[in-house]
Amino acid sequence: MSRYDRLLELSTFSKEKLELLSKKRILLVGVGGVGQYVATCLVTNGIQHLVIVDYDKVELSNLNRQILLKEEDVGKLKSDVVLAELIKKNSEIEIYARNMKVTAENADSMVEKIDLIIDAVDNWPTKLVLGDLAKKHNIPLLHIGVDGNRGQYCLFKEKSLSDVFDNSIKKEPRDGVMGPMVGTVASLASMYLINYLVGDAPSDVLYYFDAKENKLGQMKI
Amino acid sequence: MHLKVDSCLSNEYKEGMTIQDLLDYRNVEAVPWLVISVNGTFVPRAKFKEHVLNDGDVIELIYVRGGG
Repeated sequence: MSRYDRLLELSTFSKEKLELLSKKRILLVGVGGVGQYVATCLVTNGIQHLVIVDYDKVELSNLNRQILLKEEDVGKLKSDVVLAELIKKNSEIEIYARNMKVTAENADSMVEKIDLIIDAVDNWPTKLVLGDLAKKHNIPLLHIGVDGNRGQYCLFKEKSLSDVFDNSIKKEPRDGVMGPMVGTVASLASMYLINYLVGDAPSDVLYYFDAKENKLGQMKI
Repeated sequence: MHLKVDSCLSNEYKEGMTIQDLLDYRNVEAVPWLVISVNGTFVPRAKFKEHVLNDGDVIELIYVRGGG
């Protein structure tokens, strides 16, 4: 019995696709609400090499949506806690954690031998840094954003993040967030990403979800 | 002319309207986190004043979010 038995039973999946996933080296920046869902999906569904980056410490207010955290983790480095939990999910793969705040000055140091970057950070300035980083190194970037009742994700390959999102974005009006909303958007983005990595989904499409309107949509960029 | 804006179809719109005209008509501010598609294709912000809308176009106004 293999941990991937149920995945391999999926009619649209195959051993060849699992092999493709095993060769991808993923950099995930931000392991908060979105990042923890995405990381969990990836390490349990075929990704064999993942680097996670975060600099926050765990706060009690994180626990409504950040599924890998527990009360006893409050005050600990999030990257350490998430790494330990991911290893419990899959101890047979390579997972690394870096406790650092990404800036324009240090971003280049993160992308050696990386095939794809995931932006799961919670602020536009860092998202724009990751957009520039991906463009500079010609690495695909999966952007994910969620807040309130809305969220969106887009894998930039031919286009770049700054082609779509205005550089003057500093901070949009923030709302609260319900745990399942984060999980919904992160799960949709994770499913899309796995399909993209095995060649079953297109790049450069912005997908959006409005929970209040119960509306899913997409636009080609 | 008819336009479908955020899933609402209406014939109240004037021929020759640009995207910026539509935003002004609906009192929508083009805030930096607003992204617009016409017939399923993203329209860059720089084109808002020159992209002329046609009868039957489907326009979506998406307010993107920066949380993670």
